[in-house]
Amino acid sequence: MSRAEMPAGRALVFMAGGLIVWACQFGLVYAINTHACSFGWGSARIGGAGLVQLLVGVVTAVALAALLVLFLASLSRGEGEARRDPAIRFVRGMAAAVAMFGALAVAWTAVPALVSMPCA
Amino acid sequence: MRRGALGNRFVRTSGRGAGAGARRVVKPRRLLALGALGGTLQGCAGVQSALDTAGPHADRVAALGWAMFAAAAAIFLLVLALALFAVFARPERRRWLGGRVVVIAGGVAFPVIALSALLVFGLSTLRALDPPPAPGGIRIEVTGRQWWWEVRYLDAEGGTIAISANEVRMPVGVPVEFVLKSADVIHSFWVPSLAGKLDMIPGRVNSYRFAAGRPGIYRGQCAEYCGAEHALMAFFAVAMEPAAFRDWMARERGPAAAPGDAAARRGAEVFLNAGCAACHTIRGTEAKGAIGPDLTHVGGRVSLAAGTLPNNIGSMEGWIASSQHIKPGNFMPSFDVLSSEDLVAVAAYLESLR
Amino acid sequence: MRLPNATPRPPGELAELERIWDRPRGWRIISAVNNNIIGIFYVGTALLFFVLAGILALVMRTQLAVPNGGFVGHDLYNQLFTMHGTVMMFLFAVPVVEALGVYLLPNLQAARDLPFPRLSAYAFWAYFVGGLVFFTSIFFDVAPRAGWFMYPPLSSTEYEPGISADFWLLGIGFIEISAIAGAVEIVVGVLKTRAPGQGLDKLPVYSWAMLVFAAMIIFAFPAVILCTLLLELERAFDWPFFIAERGGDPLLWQHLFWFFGHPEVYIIFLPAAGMVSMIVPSMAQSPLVGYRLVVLAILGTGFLSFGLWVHHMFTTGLPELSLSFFSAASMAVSIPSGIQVFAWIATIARGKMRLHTPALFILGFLFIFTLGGLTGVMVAMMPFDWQVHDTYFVVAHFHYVLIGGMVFPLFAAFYYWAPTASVRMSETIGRWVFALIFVGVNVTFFTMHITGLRGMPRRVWTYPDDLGWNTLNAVSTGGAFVIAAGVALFLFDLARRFRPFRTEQPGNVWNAGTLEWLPSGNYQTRSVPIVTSREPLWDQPNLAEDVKEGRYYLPGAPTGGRETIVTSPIRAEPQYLLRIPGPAWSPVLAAIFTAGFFLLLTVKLVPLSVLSGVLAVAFVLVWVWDTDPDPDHPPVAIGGGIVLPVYATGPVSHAWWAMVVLMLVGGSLFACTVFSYLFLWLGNAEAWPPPGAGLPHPAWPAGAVLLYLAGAGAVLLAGSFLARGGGAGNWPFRILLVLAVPLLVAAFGADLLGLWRAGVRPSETSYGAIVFGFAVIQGLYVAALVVMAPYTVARSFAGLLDARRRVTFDNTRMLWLYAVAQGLIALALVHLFPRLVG
Repeated sequence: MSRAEMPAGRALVFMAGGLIVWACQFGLVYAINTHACSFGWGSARIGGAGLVQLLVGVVTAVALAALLVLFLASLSRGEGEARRDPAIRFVRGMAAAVAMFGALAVAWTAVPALVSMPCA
Repeated sequence: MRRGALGNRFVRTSGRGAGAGARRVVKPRRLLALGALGGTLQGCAGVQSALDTAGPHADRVAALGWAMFAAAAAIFLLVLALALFAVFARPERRRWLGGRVVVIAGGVAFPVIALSALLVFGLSTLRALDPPPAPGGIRIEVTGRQWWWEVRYLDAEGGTIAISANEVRMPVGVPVEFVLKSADVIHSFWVPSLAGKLDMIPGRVNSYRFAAGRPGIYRGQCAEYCGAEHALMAFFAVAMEPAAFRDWMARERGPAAAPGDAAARRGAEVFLNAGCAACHTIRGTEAKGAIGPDLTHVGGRVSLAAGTLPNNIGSMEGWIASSQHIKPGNFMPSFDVLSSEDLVAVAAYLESLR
Repeated sequence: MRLPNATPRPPGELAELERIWDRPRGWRIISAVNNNIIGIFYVGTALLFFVLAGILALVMRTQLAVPNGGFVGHDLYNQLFTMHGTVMMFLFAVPVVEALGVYLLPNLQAARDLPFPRLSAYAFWAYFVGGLVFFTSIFFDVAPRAGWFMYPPLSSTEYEPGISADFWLLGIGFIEISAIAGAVEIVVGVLKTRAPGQGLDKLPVYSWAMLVFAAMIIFAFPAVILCTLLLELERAFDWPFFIAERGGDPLLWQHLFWFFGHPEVYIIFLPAAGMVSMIVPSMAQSPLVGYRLVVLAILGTGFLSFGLWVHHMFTTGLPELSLSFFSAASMAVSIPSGIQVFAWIATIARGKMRLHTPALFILGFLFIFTLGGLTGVMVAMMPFDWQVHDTYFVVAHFHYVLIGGMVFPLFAAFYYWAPTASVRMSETIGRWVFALIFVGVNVTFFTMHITGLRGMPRRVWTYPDDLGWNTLNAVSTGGAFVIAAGVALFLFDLARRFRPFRTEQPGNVWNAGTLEWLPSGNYQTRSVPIVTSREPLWDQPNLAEDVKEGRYYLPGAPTGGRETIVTSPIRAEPQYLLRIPGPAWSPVLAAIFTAGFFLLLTVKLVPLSVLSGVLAVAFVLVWVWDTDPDPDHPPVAIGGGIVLPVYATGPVSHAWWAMVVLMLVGGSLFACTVFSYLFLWLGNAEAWPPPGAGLPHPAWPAGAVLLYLAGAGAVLLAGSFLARGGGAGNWPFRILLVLAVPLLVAAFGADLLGLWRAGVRPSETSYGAIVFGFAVIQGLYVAALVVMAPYTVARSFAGLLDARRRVTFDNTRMLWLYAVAQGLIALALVHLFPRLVG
């Protein structure tokens, strides 16, 4: 058994991290809008901006920040054997790519909030 | 637009007409000889096509559709050409196509740009579909039932002005708000020439506003599978010049005309005595049934049996005598026990109700 | 490079390997568990359902060939389209890709078998028996007729009083369980049983696709299991989850169903795309361009496909912005498809495509799937969808996606991999099969785009003759028969040439680069190679010969039984030798009785059904009894100086991984239940709980919490006694474990009793229904543990459980802690949440 093996569960979650962040953001913004429309605060405004749009913006910003952290973490090289091992380098590279793809998905998910009416 | 103030609010229905006791269960019969149906729809005017538009809503959607078609066709041909080029071109000519750059350019960069554009374009179309709210505009409540449509014209306070079935009439050029409900299972309200569809869901009220652009008769059909006779649950939207609409509405809200001749008088009696009145209402008479369509002005409608038959005295007789052959499984029994004189009389009476 | 084992190998080693892995002969082959045999059975059965569902489609197309057609009546037609969709999705599409996974994965990863061969056998037989009985319902006029999507209220008792809907709910619910069993097998198989050196960077794309496929099943299928369970509870006991008059909501079904239903499309597509990524490089004789991008695409598809379910609900009147999020996700999910299409084109361009039958099907796939993908982007735009939703346009779209995206790759796969099981299929006939199906599909379904735009709705058993649909429908019907001719020709060739289970094989006929083309038998490869490339047969010279001569790892069967090397998930380093069970009747019988349980329940033969269920559990226990072998077997040298233990527990072991996967399934089911609770609350927020059904006094849930914790404590303590070893802790261990059972049951009961005394009734309102729905879910775990705890104690008495040999206890403990955690969350939600928001 090798010392350089990453804990497998963590490695798999790390690799898919960018998309897990998207899933959280997507679920949250959907839940926010559903609640807003159900309880009638879909057209509420705070300081000129719509409440829903504001919340979607906040969630999106947090998600993008998380993706940035993931991306930076995936760039760190590790040490010793892990640095050279192709499988572990593959996991890191994949994590970086997934984080970038996640950023695209997160950004796209937020676009409708700029264009569409929350509860129409 | 698609949903008004009532949208998404949980609305408890009264259960009117939806209880088990209110429904007569007619054992669906497998019908092999459907010849009776063949050809009977000839003459039912009206189109039902998303390509043949007659209102601003459907026009805009069609424009979006054509734009997407054009783009999709171009992309499709490009991909196809590249694939064939990759297979058949000489190796030195196709080498450029064999790199990762192509995958990134064709699989990531191009779609990101194209789809971003489409997303913004599509969502803007969505907003443009929203017609300006017309205060005091016309509201029509349509309730889907297995397998017909109950139609109520509402006043500003939501009270009922007139009740009809299987036909909505609207003035041209004015956005009309359709308040969509269901009394049993899920149905979907759809007149493709005028607008897209919106579901009618038990316990919910959906609202949809759109206008007709020019006078005409447009066919609509239930678009959500709703059981045995989903296929024969159609209706007509009749767009009229505003003046004609006002005249029509003045007649429609009134009670039924008294039978004009002897045959019609006999028909009115048969209607009350043969059991028709247990299910149907004819305003101004003793008939107050609430299970089937209101027949107060049935003679003036475009079709019978929810768009299944053209409306004339012959098809009226056929429908009464053999509704289970024409639309097997529907909740109206075939009144094949009526004598032919009674049948002709009741059909004549109903056709006189304009 | 020095190879791990020297040749010549000892005489008799190969004969011993062959004897151990030999398949049962004659009718006893039913008891076989080997992936090569179960895989072929599985694919064959799925193909049978493809043909059957196809015949249903032909009957429908015949009816629709002319307006006002009189070939079948409305009632039969409605059953036909319901069965066509249901059988194609649940009995063909998912099983066939899972079946190919069972067959191919050990071949691609040079494992001797999948880690749980008896589970594969169980999954297959459950599917086989359940599927066939389900299908026969169409012959007795009791087939479901509410559509494959089974929307309530149309599928509720009021509008569908007979047993036909129950057939669907129980039959399909049960086949989903079979699919989940297969998914557990595939996840662990891909992660843990690979050729040494086949790290994640060298994993075949197909394995990636199957890993993501199985993970998607784990998260998507619980949603449909939950909604079928809720609807069956509503039908059987009048619990109003979907009845609007009592606070239920028909849309809850749609959310749950499509949360499964949309990923389902990609669940079917991903394995097919994985196959294409194997076949294209081989036919073009060039490695896949953009391997990493393709893996990224597979991962991306797996996730994003969960953000699309409302796609199917665009016309239900949900808020505009909510719908728009799903439009955006639909845009995002097309990127991965684009990546893959261009990766395949680039690979073709780099190599030289040989246009044999598999390649033709691949090109046909590119054509049809691209078109289906583009119409998919169109229907993702809400305004356009409002027009075409539930019309023939959508029928055309998803047949392009599913036939193009899945059936064509499947045919390609069949022609491509047939030589690994039997012989090469006829090239001449193959070209005809391709031509007929390709032309037929386009004639049938391209036409339907226009039919839909011209206003023809779906699921209509007839249509009038004056709406301009006549010619279009006649053309579609003609096309359908052309497809049928192609499939018939394929079956003819299959019957003529395909003879599975033979020992001599035609070899690497396509000069492919991956491990399934190594010389093999039922034991897979004679020795297990070290992999240093993604296409080892291209890059590692003399590999086939060395493997065949036994120069690589594990050239024999050193433990005297079936075994395979378990490797680490990331780098694929050998960890231990897994002794896997051989042929057995118990999985077959367990499957038959499981099917019996569900089917007898459908026809309301409750006592027989319960008996069948008890027998099913009994046979499962028989089957698992000898799957935790003796840990004292000495470690085994597999060659190259590597000595592997033959027993493992904890996170290294395959059993631990399977248990974790199973708990993910459970967690997903629970999450869907929580969603249902909150969803129903949103619709009834003003009366939650409704008048008359108060919240129990806090003492009840508090008592339940204490009892849950006490039970969990007893189990943990039992574990520490077990760990002491030497037999001293045996009695305290047994007593504690037995004691924990009444504590668990009491915790469960206290909560129920509290609710009941507070006046909560499941049939009165949706509140009561969902609160008791939690109890049903929790009850499943309580019931499972009530069986597992005595089973564990029995193994202790039998001397099969001690400080080292403890997998049975570890699994029981893990499930126990999971059940307690879930129970506590449910308690918090049911008792705290209404107090917080109310």
